[in-house]
Amino acid sequence: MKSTEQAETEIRTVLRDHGRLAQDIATLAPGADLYQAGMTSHASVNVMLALEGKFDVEFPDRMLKRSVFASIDAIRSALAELGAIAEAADAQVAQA
Amino acid sequence: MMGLTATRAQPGAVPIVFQAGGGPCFGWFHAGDAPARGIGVVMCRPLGYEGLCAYQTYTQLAETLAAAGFDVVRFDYHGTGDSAGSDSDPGRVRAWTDSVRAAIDEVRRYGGVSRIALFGVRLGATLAAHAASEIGGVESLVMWAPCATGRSLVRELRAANASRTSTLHDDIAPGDVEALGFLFTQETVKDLEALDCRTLSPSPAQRVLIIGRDDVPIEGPLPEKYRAMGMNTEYAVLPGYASMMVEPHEVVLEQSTLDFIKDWLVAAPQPQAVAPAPAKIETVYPAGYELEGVRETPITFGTTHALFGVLAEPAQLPDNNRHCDTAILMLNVGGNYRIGPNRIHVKIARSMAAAGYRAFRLDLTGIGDSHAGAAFCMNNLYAKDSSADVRAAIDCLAAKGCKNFYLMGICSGSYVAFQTALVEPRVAGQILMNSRLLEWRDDRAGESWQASMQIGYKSTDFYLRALLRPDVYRRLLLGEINVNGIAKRFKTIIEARLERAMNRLLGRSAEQEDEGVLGKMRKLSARGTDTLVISAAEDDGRDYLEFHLGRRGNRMKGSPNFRMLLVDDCDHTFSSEQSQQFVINAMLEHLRRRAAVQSIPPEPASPAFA
Repeated sequence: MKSTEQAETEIRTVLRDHGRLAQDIATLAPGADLYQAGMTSHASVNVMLALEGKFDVEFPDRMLKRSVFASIDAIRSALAELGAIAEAADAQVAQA
Repeated sequence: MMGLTATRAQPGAVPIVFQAGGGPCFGWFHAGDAPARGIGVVMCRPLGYEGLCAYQTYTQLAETLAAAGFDVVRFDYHGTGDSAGSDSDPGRVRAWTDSVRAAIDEVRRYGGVSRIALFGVRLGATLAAHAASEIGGVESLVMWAPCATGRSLVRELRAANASRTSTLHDDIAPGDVEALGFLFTQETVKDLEALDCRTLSPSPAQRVLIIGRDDVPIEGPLPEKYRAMGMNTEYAVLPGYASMMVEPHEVVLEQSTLDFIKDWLVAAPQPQAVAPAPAKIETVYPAGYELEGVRETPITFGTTHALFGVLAEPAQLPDNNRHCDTAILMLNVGGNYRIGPNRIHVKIARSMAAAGYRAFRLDLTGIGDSHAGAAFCMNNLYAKDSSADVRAAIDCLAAKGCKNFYLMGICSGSYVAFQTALVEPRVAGQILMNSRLLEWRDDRAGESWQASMQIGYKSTDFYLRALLRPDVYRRLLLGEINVNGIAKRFKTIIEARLERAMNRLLGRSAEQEDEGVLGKMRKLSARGTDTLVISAAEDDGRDYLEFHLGRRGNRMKGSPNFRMLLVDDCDHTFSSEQSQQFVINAMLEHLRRRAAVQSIPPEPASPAFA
């Protein structure tokens, strides 16, 4: 299981390699809309596959939704839900 | 970026038409160069958007194999490409598999061969494997990034479907999936989910090459499974998948991988007993094929016949049908070949032909099946040569009796249409859709055309309307919206407007305006050329059009030869069925109105008709 920090770095790497974003991934805010940043439907599928490979998960059908891949934060929450990330309790409090 | 090879093999491919899935299917036969190998290769395409992206790769591989002595057929499954049918017909998976089987018969006949190899990318590989298992006797099977199971593909389609913009109303039936501009009905989804390369019996081939994706490397279950099934199996991760599956205009061909495939096919051991080959049949250039009341004809044109297109016209041409004097020429969108993104040109062409018009979907130089000149690259679309290709198409159609020529283009296609209309007086009308750029100013010569296209932004009207929605404020507060980027767009447009107003005040602008988009549009209108502009209300190209032509085109208001329509719930390439139908209806209605206006004899001293 990866830590939150490690996960965010890896999510950004996946987005850099597969998201085909118009903006520099390093400066993208965690809550920023990825579709608005240039991610197409086609790219979002590749992002999904790459995330599954990197985090060794499979997104169930109920999680194949636009909102799940809409931002770095959303992706991180989804991965946490699937048990791929150890989200620290204080990190969750800070987000609320 | 160089998207296509600088030089092409001499044109050796001929179009073929064969029956499969209940209707005519279109394809190409490449005769193998001497010395012939006695092996026929059938190339099975991936579906939808992937099929569009991979088109150039398939053509290049076909030519690579033909140069090495293989006879090759590449083709469109029933319901795809230039073949009859559509993705909403019943029995799709069966029809696609039967198309593969029929294509195998074709390569046997035209090559006079009995030894068969199959090649497929993604679902093409899956269908190839299933067809091969059904018919038996296939020697070699190349599977590039195969979908090991239909289920794995369906989940990707569901993900793509889900990521469609939420402002598009879902007009598809429950259970259907619309992904990347292609409709998968509930029945098709169910039949896809039943496909499973892991459990094929009998084995699909004697030997198999599985090529892994270079972007998301997943070996998957097939290499191990196929070894266990006794097939001589090779697995390799080779470059070229990612660069094949980007937008069509950005494709970079990985010749080293194509050569690897060729070498692997060459290495097939000579079988101990070869089944007798059928007698070789000479190809005859197809005279055309009929489907759904429409006749389609493959045509080469241009002084060296290096250009290619497909003409759709009514199957029966009654004497009193004046419409077939009118031809609508459909121009490429970016690097997408003549069928258009989401196969929209095929759908429009067949609807126009059913209504009595002629519609010609063509490939400009270097795109699709039109041969490349030296060093073709996408920026050539914005060069004068494109207009020369369109004029050659007009010459060809004029020789067939057409008198009235409309140019239709989406995005970069509308640029070519507009620029051609300016220099070609035979252009009676133009239909410009989702234009983002209509003129290439010298001071912008250094800017690549891609940079002119905003990625991910929408029209300012879209953003202004969005402020009326409460969910937008929530997202603003959560920092989910790129406010800076949007603000920058508004700023750019406001600055451009201020600059123009200042120029006017200072009397600088008259010449610029005459030569700008508005001036040119007015000249065309005065010349009698009809213009219909169709813009998705949310498309960022709308800002460009309205900057030049006024809000909803109101600066052209006085002109009888200009109309601008906005389409709601529509994206840049008209992915949804609903938006495609809107465009078709709008075009038919517009042409009917023009014909009605033109048939009324003008009265003396009467005002221009609206």
